[in-house]
Amino acid sequence: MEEAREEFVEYYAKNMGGVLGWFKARVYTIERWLYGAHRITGILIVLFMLPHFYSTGWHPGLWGDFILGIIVTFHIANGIRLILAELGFAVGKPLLVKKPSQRPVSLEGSQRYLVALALLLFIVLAVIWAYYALIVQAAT
Amino acid sequence: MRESTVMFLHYITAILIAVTGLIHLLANNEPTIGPLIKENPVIYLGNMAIFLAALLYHAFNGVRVILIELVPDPCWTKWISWAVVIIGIVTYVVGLQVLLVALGLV
Ligand code: HEM
Repeated sequence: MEEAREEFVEYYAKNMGGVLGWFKARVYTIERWLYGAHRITGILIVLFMLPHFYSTGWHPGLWGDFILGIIVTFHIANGIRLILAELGFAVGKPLLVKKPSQRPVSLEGSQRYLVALALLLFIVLAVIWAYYALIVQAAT
Repeated sequence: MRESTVMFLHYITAILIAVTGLIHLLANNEPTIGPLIKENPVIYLGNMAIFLAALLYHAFNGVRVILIELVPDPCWTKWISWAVVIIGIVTYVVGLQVLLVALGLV
């Protein structure tokens, strides 16, 4: 038993999925896609930061600001969900998953509502950002 | 530092970024509130100092997490972590310097 566990850990520690593995959603739960999106948005914000630091007046332009808003607000809304989930909020009791098709309990129940709330928050924040980026900025 | 502590700080800095980042955006884009924040150097500079620190920690730790996951080797992990710490601190010092110069305080 212990030996099998060690072999398992060793196998996965090799991480042979690489970058493409981020999007190899073997079990197509929405959380699995959110993970890929969270990682990509995180990297994109870092890439935005670099020229913004180098020349602090630099902006990605009117529509660039809008796209940046979508990226940032998604990362924030999903990030809040991740913080809550990782601190143990709204996570169901663990249960032995017997079949690959069986969804883990931790993704059911209140966790579903947390996903819905995060996506809702994303839309609200994105609309507010877009209002400032496209309408207020264009007027000044 | 224990990896769980590092990740806990990752979440703390995320919340700090949300608050200080909002102030940063308001200062530069909101026509009425913006000038009020900008005319007070203590608030503006204090906010930027916290924002920059939280942002750099979160961003560099995020990149570190991705890298050590892609190269799961204890030796590489150690060097990646140290490189990230050093580049992060240097960037913070340079960033503060740029900020002080921009505000005409140095
Ligand atoms: C209020 C704003 C933010 C919140 C709430 C937030 C939250 C989070 C959370 C919870 C994680 C997940 C870490 C994990 O469990 O693996 C994360 C990862 C990450 N964040 Fe943020 N973040 C925010 C802003 C930013 C900003 C401004 C940047 C870039 C400068 C950034 C870059 C990253 C990166 C690169 C990762 C690593 C992605 C990964 O491991 O998959 N985040 N963030």
